[in-house]
Amino acid sequence: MSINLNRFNRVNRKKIFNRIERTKKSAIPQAPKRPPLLHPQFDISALTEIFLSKLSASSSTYQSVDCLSLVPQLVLQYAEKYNTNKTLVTNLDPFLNSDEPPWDWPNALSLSTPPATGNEAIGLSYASTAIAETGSLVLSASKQNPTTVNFLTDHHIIILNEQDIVPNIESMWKRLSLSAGNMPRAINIITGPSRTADIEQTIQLGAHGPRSLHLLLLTQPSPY
Amino acid sequence: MKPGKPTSPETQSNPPIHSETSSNQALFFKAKSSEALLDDTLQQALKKAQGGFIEKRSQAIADVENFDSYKQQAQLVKNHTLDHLAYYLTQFEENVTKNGGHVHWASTPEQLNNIILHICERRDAKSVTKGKSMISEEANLNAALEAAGIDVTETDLGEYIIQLAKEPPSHIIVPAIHKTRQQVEALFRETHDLGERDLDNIAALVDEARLQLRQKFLDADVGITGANMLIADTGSAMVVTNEGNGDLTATLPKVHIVTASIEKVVPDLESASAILRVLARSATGQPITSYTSLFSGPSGIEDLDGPDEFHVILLDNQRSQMLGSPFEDMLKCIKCGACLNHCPVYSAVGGHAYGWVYPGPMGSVLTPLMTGLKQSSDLPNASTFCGRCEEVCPMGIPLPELLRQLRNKEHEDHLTSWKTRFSLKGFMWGIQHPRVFHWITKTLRMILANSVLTRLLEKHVLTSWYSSKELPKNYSKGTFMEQYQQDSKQKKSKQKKS
Repeated sequence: MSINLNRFNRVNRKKIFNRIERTKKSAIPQAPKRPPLLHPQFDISALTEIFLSKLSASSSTYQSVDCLSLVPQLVLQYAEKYNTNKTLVTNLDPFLNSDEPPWDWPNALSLSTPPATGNEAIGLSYASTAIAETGSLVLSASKQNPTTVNFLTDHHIIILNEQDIVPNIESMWKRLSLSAGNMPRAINIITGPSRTADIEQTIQLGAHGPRSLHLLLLTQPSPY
Repeated sequence: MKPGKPTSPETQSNPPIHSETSSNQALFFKAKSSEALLDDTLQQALKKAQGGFIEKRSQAIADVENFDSYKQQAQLVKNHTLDHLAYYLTQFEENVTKNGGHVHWASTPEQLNNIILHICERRDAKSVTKGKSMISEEANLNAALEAAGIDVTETDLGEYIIQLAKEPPSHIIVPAIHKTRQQVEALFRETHDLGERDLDNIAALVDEARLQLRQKFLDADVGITGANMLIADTGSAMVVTNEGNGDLTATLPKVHIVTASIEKVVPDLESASAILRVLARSATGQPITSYTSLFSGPSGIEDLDGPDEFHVILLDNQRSQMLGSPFEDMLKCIKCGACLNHCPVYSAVGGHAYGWVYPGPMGSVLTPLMTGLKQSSDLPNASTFCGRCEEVCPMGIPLPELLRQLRNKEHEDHLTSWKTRFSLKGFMWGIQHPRVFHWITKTLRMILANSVLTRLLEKHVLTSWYSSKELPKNYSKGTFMEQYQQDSKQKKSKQKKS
């Protein structure tokens, strides 16, 4: 290609910055101090309750589990409830069960390894944290949690440790402790199934992503 | 403005698509709004939409303890960022690079298109999927891609519908708000190979689009999304959607390109949270949308999916000129659409009458600033100054005041019609000469007191205004001054008597 994108960018960048700096908003060498911001506060003792009520308001469902080994059976039950094909895509097995016996998957489920291709009916992921303020589950892209599982499956099941629920959006970022150079490629804050209201402002679930979202809330502290 | 250079022979063979081609339409607000008022289907669609948004927003606001304080925090963030825009843009660029992505700079929409075409050509891209991006609408990117022989598909359901209909968006968050269910069904029947499938309800229509677009997502070589915010501290683009189309666009193709304007940058994730808190509530009345996603570069060695290239293209398009100008407040806009939903003018005529990509009150300010006041001189006047837009704006942008300033500018630049200028001059002269002024008011009152003369004026002199209105009937005993003088005389004579 003969277009020199580097030079093109250099020239334009300079032009744009010249125009910005013509105003009082000049580039200062040291970091400006952002004014402190208020965060909404929530009753810490009722976090799970607040979280679950917001989660339900987003058209998601949930059930509590006290033992990880129950997960395969619950996934099957969920698949049967939706009368869907029984293909499951997940990469959680080695991750969640490193100290425990591996999950005993029922024969009725056919397992597939990520990335998701669009042919799997069910996806199973793990949320590293969740926000009580909004009822959201937070998934970071990783080998265990490939992003395609969150969006290409028809029904998405997410496991969350109860102790990972934080009060507000800001405390969620803090919990993830992110920094440039060390960012997961994608972080998805998921609040309910995919939806659209683009036709006559009527809400319809399952626009492009999952048609349903189900939470398995792990009430016993997980050893991982 | 000059197109970007140096360009390759390949890019030269694709003439840059000027945004003016679409902006010219803003000249015809009057004609188009009259048409819109007579379009029954459009009126039906607008009526359905109107109440819903207003109600949902007010419910979402009532659900939180103190929305005003949320607004304050969000405004604090934007004010601070605009004061240090150059710093945060520099920081953003550094951190995107640190994450393994690339930042590109475009002064004009044509340059943005050229950069995208360059990336697509280098990767030999045949098909592109797009998440909703108003910046790409500013640049008319779809036309540029099609001209280069690239198959481009909009994936937001509303955008997809209007792409099939070959129409521009009529709302910034619900682009197909002007389409009825029946019209969507007709479009799908025309363009999809349907066979016997039934499309007689909304669920079936959504499923049909899901089916068609799923394959497009999987086949695309390049995915282009917009960004609701750019996070300087982490070098990330934040994309807010309900459908999940933005995420599929950003995840499945081998290349992810983010198009965003320079004022979208915020200092850090804490700042972004403050804006998130007001964004969805003002837009759709949700506490948060289904998906709020942070994209921070190409996939890593461990990742099992995601693109191998990540680009952010930053567009200026007159925004740096707004900075430090009387119109700087407009840069605080987070494109929530609340001002459109609450505007009596927008609700009556819909978005297409505004002629360019941004309709409603925010569009009436932005379009003249971006495409030139001369090309859009009707827009600052497309407002009743009722003030609802300013009241519902989460960023506290004084939209009526900005429109007023544009009207002033229009007058100063001699863009108003000779009739308006002549009448204003005449009025100015009249009120500075009391005798003339009193004579005119006396004459006018006499005319208005006489029904024959009034009708003559309505039917034969002031026809364009009074063809649909009536002059006020006047049964008073005289003009204000006449009555006042008479009153004073009576009082004086009474005083003398006593």
